[in-house]
Amino acid sequence: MSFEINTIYFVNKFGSEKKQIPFPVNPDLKLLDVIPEISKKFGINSQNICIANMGGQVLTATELEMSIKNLVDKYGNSFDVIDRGGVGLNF
Amino acid sequence: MIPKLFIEAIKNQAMNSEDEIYGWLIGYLKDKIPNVLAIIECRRFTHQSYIAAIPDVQSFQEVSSAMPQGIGPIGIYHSHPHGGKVFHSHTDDTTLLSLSKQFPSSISIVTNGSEINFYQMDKNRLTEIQVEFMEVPIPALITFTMREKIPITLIGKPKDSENVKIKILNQMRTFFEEIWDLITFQSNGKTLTGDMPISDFLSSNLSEKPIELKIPIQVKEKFKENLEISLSKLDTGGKVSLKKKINLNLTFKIPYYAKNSEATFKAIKEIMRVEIISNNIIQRLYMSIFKLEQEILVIPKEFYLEYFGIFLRILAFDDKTLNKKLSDKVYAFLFELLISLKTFINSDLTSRYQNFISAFLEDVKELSTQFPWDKKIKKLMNSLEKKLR
Repeated sequence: MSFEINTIYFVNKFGSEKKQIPFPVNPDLKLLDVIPEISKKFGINSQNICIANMGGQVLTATELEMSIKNLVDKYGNSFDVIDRGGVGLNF
Repeated sequence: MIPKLFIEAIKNQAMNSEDEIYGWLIGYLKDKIPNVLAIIECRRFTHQSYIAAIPDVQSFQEVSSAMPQGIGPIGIYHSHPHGGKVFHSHTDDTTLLSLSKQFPSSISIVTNGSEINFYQMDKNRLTEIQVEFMEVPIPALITFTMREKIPITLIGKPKDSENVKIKILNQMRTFFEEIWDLITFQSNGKTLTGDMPISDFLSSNLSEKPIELKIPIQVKEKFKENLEISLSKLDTGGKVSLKKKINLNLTFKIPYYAKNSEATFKAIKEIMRVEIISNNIIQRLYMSIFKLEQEILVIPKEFYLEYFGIFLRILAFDDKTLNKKLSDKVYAFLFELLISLKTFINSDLTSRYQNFISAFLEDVKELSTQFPWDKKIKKLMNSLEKKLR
């Protein structure tokens, strides 16, 4: 059976309960293109957001430029959405 | 609500660092009040200096993934070193606002080692809040288990173990999302209906009164096409392909800490969906190893450690050789937890906290036998145990 990618899953683990958003998406898009929407859906400041694979490794700028299809082939269809949570003065 | 002991520990951490310290407040929300059950000091940073701190994303991912559903990071703390003024900078405001959108009652604590302030966002405005210092009760928990053999058909010859693993992961995600509503909750062989309250199944222990998740046979049959995985494009073209059946042994034991004992199974099922599918099945598949020669998928097991009375989950194989892949990651996480405990040891610990720390050290000792660094971490544990005595 052929497998068509059309939904990727984003999980946010800040708070007492983890939350997940299924995200139907055109697999030819770059992940970078959908980050503003993900950021909005979870309420994470767009400067703070980062996407990690299920092993916790943050996707690099090059990976964010890859098509979602290629990313799904590399890491799977599930990603963590993490707030960097930086504090302090300007950095 | 937060125990006074944690405040002392946060101040101690701040006093002993030249740079800004950073950590997570672990707890839950009840009646709109955040309750802090534990703290974890961050030890891995993307940036750390005397004016700023950005935790390493992997560190947060490990902390938050280890948390059981119902308890998690509900706030952060950081310091202004060298007796600096205790205030919230513009960056701190932006971060707290962002965290508050993810968890509306997020707390931010700032200390210079002697003074300490507590902040929350109230309608997007920073507010200093009053705090009650007291020991926080641990909510009762309900345990969900599964023991299923999922029959998977691999079509084509596996060539790249990582590729096979990711294909299985993707297919399993789709499979479980599709069948989730058809999975039943059972206790002692009886199916539990959605309108039943969870109250009769609450406990303080992981192994008591587990609820078993069952995939009905007819569901496995109906969705069997979803369990066929094509390993190469050639195999999808209708040619006679090499087929290999493998069984995916899925077993888990997952706690949910319930703040509302009157909640029904219907309500809990949706909350557990993300924990069971995303944080357990999919994450474990991601960490799994596909052995090309034998064509088997080895999935890491769950080990539970009791940290301040909360059951944290660590993924590991019960095999030192396989654990090489997870070794550094587990070591870094355990080190972070042990170092967090070190700041408590010199405080005047009540028997509750002495017992918590002893229980945690015992659990770490047991888990570390599965890893090559067991002797290295033992040294740190011995010094903690000595101080505890």
